[in-house]
Amino acid sequence: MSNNTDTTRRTFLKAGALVAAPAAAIGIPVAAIAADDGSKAALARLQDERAIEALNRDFLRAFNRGGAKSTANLFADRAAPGIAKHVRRLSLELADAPRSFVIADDGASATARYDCTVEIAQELEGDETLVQMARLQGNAAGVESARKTLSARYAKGADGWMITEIELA
Amino acid sequence: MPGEAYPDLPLFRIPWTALSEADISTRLASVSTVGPRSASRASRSLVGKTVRIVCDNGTTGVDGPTLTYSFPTADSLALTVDDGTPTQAGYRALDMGDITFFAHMIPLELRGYAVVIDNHTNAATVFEIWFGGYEKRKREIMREVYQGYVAVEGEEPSTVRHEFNNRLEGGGYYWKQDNGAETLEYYSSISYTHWVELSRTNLEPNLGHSAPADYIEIGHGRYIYTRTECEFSGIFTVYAFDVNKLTQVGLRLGFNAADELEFYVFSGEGEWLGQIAKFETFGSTEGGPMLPRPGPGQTEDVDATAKGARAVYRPMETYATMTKEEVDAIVPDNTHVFAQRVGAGSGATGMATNVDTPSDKLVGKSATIQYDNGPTMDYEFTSVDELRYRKDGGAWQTVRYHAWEAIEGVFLMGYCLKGEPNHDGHITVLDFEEGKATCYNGYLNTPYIANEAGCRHLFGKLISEGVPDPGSARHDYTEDMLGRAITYSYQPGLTSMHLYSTPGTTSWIIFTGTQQMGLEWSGTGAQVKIRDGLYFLYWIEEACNGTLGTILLNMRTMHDIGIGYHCGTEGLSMSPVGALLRHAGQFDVERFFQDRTRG
Repeated sequence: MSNNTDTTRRTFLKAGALVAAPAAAIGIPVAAIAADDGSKAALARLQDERAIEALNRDFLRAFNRGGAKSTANLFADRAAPGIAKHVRRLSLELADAPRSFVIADDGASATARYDCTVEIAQELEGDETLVQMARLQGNAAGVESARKTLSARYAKGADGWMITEIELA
Repeated sequence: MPGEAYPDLPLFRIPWTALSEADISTRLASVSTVGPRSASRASRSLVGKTVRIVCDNGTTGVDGPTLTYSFPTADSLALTVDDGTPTQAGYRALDMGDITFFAHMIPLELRGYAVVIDNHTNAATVFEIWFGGYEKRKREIMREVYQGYVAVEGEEPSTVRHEFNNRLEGGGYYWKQDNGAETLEYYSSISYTHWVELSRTNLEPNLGHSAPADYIEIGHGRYIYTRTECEFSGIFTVYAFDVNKLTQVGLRLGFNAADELEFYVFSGEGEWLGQIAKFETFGSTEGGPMLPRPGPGQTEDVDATAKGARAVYRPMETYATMTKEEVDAIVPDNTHVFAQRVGAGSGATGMATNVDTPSDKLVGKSATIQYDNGPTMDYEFTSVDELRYRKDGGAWQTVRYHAWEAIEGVFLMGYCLKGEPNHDGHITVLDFEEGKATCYNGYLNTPYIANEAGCRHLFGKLISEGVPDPGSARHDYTEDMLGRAITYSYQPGLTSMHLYSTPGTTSWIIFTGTQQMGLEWSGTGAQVKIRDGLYFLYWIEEACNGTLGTILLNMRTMHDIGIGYHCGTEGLSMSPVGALLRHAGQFDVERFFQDRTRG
């Protein structure tokens, strides 16, 4: 059974900000944590959300800088995701809520869906030297933007949260 | 077998030895403990000091090391990397104002460091350099670049960093090192460079070559430049320089064509050759290095996060070379002259977007061209795309052609001859106003690669009704284009800049999507003047794609018409190219090629 938090983006970010602060500073009584009245679990959950959010940022930064292959180290199996080559840039709407964000009860896995803007490049055609060189440095005949949904699965292992699957639809 | 250190050959014609790691290790063994040579007296500014350099992550994101150096003498150091064991090595240092530059290899390893320290800000740039990192050519030096600072006890860490940016893009310099080596260096891209060896070879005509580069700003008019001669010797050059004082200090490391190790520091003095235009949005200072990021359709498997990774254009990786037998077998039945696109390298796709309609003004005309250094050609133009010709009074042949009128009475015409053993094509400027003709005579079965084009330059007189006799006057080679840079926009996403760096070189630089100058390559070429402002140029994509590219460039209209002659596995093709142009400027280099500009 999963615990769907139906987190809004605002609360998601707010939660992340809370995690960044010491427990005392965000008003969680130390005694309450010690008593394990649920606050400890809540704090752990906030930490997980924050970690996944950072993982997403790393994924976007790596993809936009070096393509899918550059993101391989963020995946549990160290394999690059199968995102089409003509996708040259991804951006998440940071001001919006994820469509869904779910952390499993055991805290070991999570799923999320995000609205995503995708830049799709139109391929330069031809095999002339100039065209080959232009393609090698990422040039395209044109770029179109499209709204897509980015679906992600995550797993928590010994090294923290990793991505297990990314899909763009 | 290695020969001369600097033979009089283009770098792409030298058979570079495939040195193994063991070969390299053997050659390094005797010098790593001694350090690099120096023609000038080495600096003693580091002697007695301990210097700890804390590095940020490298350009590819790899962790940056902390390097702790102690310098007991002017030629020996001890290095501790992070918490490792200290290593002794030989080094040399040179100073340039506030800048200290030093370099060394690590004994028993294939790697070393070159370090630039700004003693005023304590900012430092560290180049980790190593052999053997590129599997296909172990002599090619790899580098990872780290920015960082010199940690000073009792002081806050410096927040100043040297910065990759585009500030040097479009600059050009002449440099003379303290050992006498002279070069022209065009900083023609944010990630590539184009240089001309003036003293190491006596190559005629002198050629420029292109290689990946780093451009890093120290501040206050001082910069760091690197060049790795990828696809050639693999030699690595790095120097810090002051654009106002025109001084440099740096390192050269690698193996020349005789497989001799060059490992020396140098100082030098320079001259500014000028500055051509930049085309980025005003205010943009974004620079390199370019990481290997395949665009759509590019199949090369690259990893932008690997240590030392950067975008390197390796043309022979994609060039399908053919033997003479293969060329002779395919060309007779597969010659495509101004056909629709016929395959790889035909040049008939996006590069033809801006080509005008072929001219019909030659239809019904007849003409004879008497080349001074070639055949006599008789022509009858029977339609807009068909002509009859005979060579030296032989049998008439009917072939497909196209011609374009560049200015009134001056046409660029192309066709392929029949029955020629080397499958000749004539790309000719017909000048009915002045009675002259100039032909770039493309041919195949050249000595190095059979499907790579060669080019003869034919000059002659054009005889036709109503056309004046030019006497002995001919179109001629020109210095007008020397040092000039012209951008050619073929289609969205495909703009190239030509740099005519020597009388015999055409270099081309591909603009990025944000209009930075990016990857660069170059080949032999020539520059012929037809009129003031009208030039007939060619280049050959040697050891690259094999294409002979020609352009009749009109600087009054900033438009051109060109014809490409290419042989690949699909056969021989002749195709039009055309672009919208911009003049990017001109470097002042004529004085370096006096007596060399007349072909």
